[in-house]
Amino acid sequence: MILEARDLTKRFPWGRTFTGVRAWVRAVEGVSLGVAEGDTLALVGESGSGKTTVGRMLAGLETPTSGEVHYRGQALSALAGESRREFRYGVQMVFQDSQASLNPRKTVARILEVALSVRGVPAGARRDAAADLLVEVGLEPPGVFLGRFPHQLSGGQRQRINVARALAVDPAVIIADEPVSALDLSVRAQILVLMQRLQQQRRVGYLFISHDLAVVRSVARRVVVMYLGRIVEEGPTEAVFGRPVHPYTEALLSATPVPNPRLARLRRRIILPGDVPSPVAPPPGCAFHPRCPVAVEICRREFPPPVHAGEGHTALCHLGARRVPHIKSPTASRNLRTASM
Amino acid sequence: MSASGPLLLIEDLHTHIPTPRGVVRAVDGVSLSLAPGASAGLVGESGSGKTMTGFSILRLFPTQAARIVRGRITLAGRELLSLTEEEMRRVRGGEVAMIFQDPTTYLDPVLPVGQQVAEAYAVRHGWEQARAKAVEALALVGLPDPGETYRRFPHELSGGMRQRAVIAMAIVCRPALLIADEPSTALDVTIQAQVLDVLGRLRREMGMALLLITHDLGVVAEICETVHVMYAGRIIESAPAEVLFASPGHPYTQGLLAATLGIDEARPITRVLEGAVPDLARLPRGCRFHPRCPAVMQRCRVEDPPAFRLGEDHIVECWLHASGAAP
Repeated sequence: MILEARDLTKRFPWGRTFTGVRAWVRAVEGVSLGVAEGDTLALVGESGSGKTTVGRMLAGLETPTSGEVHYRGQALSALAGESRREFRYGVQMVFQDSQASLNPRKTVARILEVALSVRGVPAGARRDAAADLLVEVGLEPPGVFLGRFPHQLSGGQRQRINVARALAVDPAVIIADEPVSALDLSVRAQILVLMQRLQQQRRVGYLFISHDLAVVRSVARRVVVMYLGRIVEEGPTEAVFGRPVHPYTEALLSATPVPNPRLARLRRRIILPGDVPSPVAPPPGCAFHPRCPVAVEICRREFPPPVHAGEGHTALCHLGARRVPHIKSPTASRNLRTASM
Repeated sequence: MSASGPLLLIEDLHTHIPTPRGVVRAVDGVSLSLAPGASAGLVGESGSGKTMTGFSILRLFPTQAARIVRGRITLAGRELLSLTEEEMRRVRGGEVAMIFQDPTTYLDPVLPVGQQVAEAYAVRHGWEQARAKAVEALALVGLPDPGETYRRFPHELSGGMRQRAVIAMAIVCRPALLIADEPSTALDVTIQAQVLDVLGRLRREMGMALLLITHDLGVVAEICETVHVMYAGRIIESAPAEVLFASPGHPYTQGLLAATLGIDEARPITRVLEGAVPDLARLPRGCRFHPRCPAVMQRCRVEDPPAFRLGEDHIVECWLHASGAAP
């Protein structure tokens, strides 16, 4: 793993008073995950799930309340000097708002040249290197774009510049926080194809943060699902989408519109009641129980145990074992025993 | 109005916005019809003119400069474009209501939401029954404990509840047509499912027709019976939803569908539409899609394609179908 989150927790003070902090927003609670070289891990959840905060901690933009970020096996808090600089180049971010993340008073050439200069590209070679980056992200001919300001570009072109700027320092991991959510459908496809091509060419790892399950399914090898600051299910994309164990994952999948009217009519939709509760006072037991369609008594009292549903596929749910029939069946468990012997 | 006639009929609508750069042809010859109680999706990317088409129906434009320069809009047999501004005000929120993407912007932060719903009723029918009607509308959109929600302020509600309060404001006078402009786009997917469920239930229970304006083909597939695909100010393809998704006739629709990802299959993105929507003040000659079209022919560069009929209700503006049935 190049970039790892180990048991990360982040609490933000909420309602400061003269006597101290009244309460804490539990944005992230005990999250562990890792991004490997050339791999894509998707972090999925709705607003308030803590997915963006996890991304910001992994990029070093937030300090965890507890837990540790590891870069190439080393704890981030222990990195200093040259190795700290290596981390700052090695992990880059691309944000949803392509306009806000570019300085409106700098040309594309200046934006890329600054990034190239911190990587030590000599001044004389920067303009050519910037042009090469533009070609790499599909903005051709580069001469047309070098002199432009961000407002003279379309949303898709600006997002390409953001990707180019991230690439300028030759990162090992790019944390992309909803990189295509603000883009039109045809432009969205263009950016996703670009990101996949760059991954194949440069072996860069992606942490792809998104609320859009359809996009995640097409880009990620592994998926982590978050709800109210915690990971509720994780596993290989095919397993999580094909055989979801957690009722929340199941509801998310069933709520995602299917672009096929015939299937849409046949599908059983799970409509969750209510909204995501406040992270200031998360519900006791399983945090999902007030909205869970299958919750039982124990869910209200006790924190759910992890359930292993297959190779690298885990969910936290009291009813987990009951929801994984292929593990409960005698043949399957016999197979498991044989396999382990 | 005859019993079988359409509720809404738009014929050759042109809405222009003069700007210093030239005339922006936001809506450039749109025709569509919607039967009472039916649901249609108006789909397109930004700059396709879908929202301006919705605004044109209500003559409610974001800019003073916008003008309907040509066309006819008929609602239940009544010619809307010949109505005075005063008559138009009675249509808005009465027979036709509209909801928008960002619910917060359309709620007054210093008034209880119930009062705002009641006011929408009272301006037409007086305050006598307004409170009861508002509570009824809040219940209809599925807000829990409507009597209590009536007294709450917008900031006390979550995003999903606010959008439902806005829907309650829109339907309190029982409109025959609801125009919903990206009603679920800013919402989380589980909340979006709640809102789509409410819109479906309102259609069933009130017999209300729905014109859904969206960029999301998935949402359209869920709740629309017919689909109109817009590109650069024109409807370039219309069809019943099942037909459009199964056999799209226009290369643009085909490209959009190829770019739409589903969750039921891991499908790599194979075909990508290059480029972007053209400047509506400087439309290309011939077919407006030809600079991006993967199947472009010589004829497309010079001649505007007419509408070709591929099936009963399947109409496509594309020269590829010129050899088919007569328009």
